[in-house]
Amino acid sequence: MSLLQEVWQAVKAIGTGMATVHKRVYEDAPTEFYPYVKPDLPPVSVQSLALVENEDGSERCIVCLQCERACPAQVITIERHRNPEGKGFLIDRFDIDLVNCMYCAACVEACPVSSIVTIQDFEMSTYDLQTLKADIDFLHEQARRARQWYSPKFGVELRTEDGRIEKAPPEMQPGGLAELLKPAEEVDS
Amino acid sequence: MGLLGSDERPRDIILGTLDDLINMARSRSMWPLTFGIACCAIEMMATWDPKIDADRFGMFFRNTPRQADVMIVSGTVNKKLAKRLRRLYDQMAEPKWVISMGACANQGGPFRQGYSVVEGVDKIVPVDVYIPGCPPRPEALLQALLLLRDKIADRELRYQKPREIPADYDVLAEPGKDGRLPVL
Amino acid sequence: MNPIPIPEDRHFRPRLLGYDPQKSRPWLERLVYSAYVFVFWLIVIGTYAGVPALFEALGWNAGWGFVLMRALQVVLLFLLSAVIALLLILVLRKYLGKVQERYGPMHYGPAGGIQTVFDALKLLAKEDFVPAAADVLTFRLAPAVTFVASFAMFAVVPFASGWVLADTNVGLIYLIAVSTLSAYGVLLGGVSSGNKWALIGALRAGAQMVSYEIPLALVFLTVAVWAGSLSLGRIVDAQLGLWNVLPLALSFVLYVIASLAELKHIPFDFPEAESELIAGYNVEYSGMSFAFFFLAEFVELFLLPALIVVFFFGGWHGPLFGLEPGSLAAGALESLYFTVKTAVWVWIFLWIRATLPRYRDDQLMEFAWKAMIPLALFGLVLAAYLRLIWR
Ligand code: SF4
Ligand code: SF4
Ligand code: SF4
Repeated sequence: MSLLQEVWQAVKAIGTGMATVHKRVYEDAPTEFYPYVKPDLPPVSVQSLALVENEDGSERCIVCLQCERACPAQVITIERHRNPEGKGFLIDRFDIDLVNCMYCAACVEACPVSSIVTIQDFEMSTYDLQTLKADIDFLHEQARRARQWYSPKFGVELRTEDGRIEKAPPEMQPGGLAELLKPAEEVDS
Repeated sequence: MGLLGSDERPRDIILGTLDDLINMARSRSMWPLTFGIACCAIEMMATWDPKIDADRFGMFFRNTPRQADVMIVSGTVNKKLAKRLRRLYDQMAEPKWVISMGACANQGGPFRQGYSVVEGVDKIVPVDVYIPGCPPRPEALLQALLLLRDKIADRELRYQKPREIPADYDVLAEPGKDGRLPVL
Repeated sequence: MNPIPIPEDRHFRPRLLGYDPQKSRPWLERLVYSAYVFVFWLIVIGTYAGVPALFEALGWNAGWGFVLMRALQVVLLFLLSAVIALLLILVLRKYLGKVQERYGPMHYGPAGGIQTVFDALKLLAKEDFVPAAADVLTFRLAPAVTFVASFAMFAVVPFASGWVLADTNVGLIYLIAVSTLSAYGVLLGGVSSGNKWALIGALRAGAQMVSYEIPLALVFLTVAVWAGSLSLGRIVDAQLGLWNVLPLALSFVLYVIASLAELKHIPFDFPEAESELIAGYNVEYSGMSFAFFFLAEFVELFLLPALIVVFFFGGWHGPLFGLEPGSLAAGALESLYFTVKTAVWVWIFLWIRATLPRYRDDQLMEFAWKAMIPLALFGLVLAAYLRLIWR
């Protein structure tokens, strides 16, 4: 008798499995059609690095070398000279080897003026490795193309249609800023 | 690789069209080799998951190198693995392509100063497309696969050969008498 | 500062080639898939009705003319098997995609409709490699043997009444002989590759296919006993009142299981178990030789469900709506019934493939020898007894 029971249980299990599989046919696929539809990445996702300029085109970076020191992969190379007219330094060379960079964003955290930021441009695949040896022009261009970027100091910043740089509203900020603000309003009301 | 193993597109109008057609078919049916090395391989698997689904473009993994067209080098290649990798590459049937995925495969990445790491897989196999990132997004891998598709389908691009790889590169050398690999 | 000059354009974006699903046109997608089925049906009609009618009109239906006619029909059937493979691989990939909540091939051709054509073209132009350790003659011969053994089953499968290449009265014995032959192709291919994985895969294939050949043959025998004939045409005719699936239910279940094993299909895909044996017996094959193994597999995936329909589901039988039996229209309608019934069974096989995991190797043999064969013998005795008291 137990043999028959076992057979019945096996048949029942296979039947249940096949029914479950068949139900899947009617469910919608979560597929994103990548090259036709670009994914909408959250602003904190680290896909590439960029060097932001101020609105008037002047350099935000103060060449303090904090990022070079912080980089664990040692891929940032900065050369500077003293500004002959005022205080501070001017950039001679600012290279990031994006080939060997491991996108840990330690440099972004170290930067005191949020000059080096993370952007969401992940389409960096290339036929030629030399395109990824980023110099300062490339990093600036990346920043100009970006619509939003993130650094821990300034949070998420947006580039508006007319080229101004604005701080993003709290609900776009990471770290639950929006959630932190909400209870305060509720307490007030 | 062109039709009949030639290195440039046939000038003949019939053979030229046939060459384009065959390469169109090749570009639209690239079967990668099931071959994951390190952490980047996790993202490689995610590329075939329902969310990205590279099978939409007719790509699925073949397990044997004889039936695969694309090798995705997804991770850190150390000197011990280099020989195996080169051997797998040699076992693949022509025409074949290589995608280097992640900082480690591109130039050693965070481990490039390590004593055991090959600084760039393009020192042992000719690479067609490089993906930066540590690890790259699955979409970035799909982008690289599609760039490879465009390269194969393009008349000019597909005859631009990657750099020649010296077969006697030190990494591939056999261990010496004392059983140790030669120092680079 | 970099040693190699940096190219001007640093951003490479993939071109938006292919069929954009955002702009999908359902009628176009249906058109492509219907075209496959229509071509299939057209070739069936052409093979079994068109060619004989043509040769009769030309007066060539004797002697060498008859040989020529048969040759032409075989060429058409080869075309048919190519269409079957193209369509079934596509359907398999789309169906597995659906079940796994993704889409499967969808950008090349409307809804991925010409993906397999690209695959076939690519395999045609891929290097056909012979390893140094291989036995060249056997290595080259094995895919041909496998394909021919599957393809030869077409000879006795009736698509409609009288629509069969050879309605011999030893049809079932022929089927057993030919289907055993395909085990040889797999075995020879694996052993001659000079590869450990291929050898293990081939030995597994040999053991599995020979073991499951026996319950398969016993089920054939059961059907023959019930119908009183070895000819496939007469087996179908005998089911006019009652489909065999009801009286021979036990044999039917055994047949489905044994044909899954014969197909090397999940849950019995030991010969090419991907997680254990890389690709099993075809591990050293590339290019067109590999494509022939593939072709053979998918021709069998059509033919074994077709035999289920012939043996248990009344073959081509269905309402004829007053059409005169034996006419072209009736034949076309009957072949349509046959194709639809077969398609349902192919779908069930794919469904099983999408659901079940793989067995363990020793369980497989145990199941064949300790369960399948005694049950098949019991089914045979039962069928004989039922036939004695019923007819
Ligand atoms: S992301 Fe990390 S590895 Fe890359 S440059 Fe910044 S600190 Fe260096
Ligand atoms: S840390 Fe910021 S400000 Fe300092 S050098 Fe780096 S990018 Fe410039
Ligand atoms: S590039 Fe980064 S993620 Fe990829 S293998 Fe190397 S360390 Fe791992």
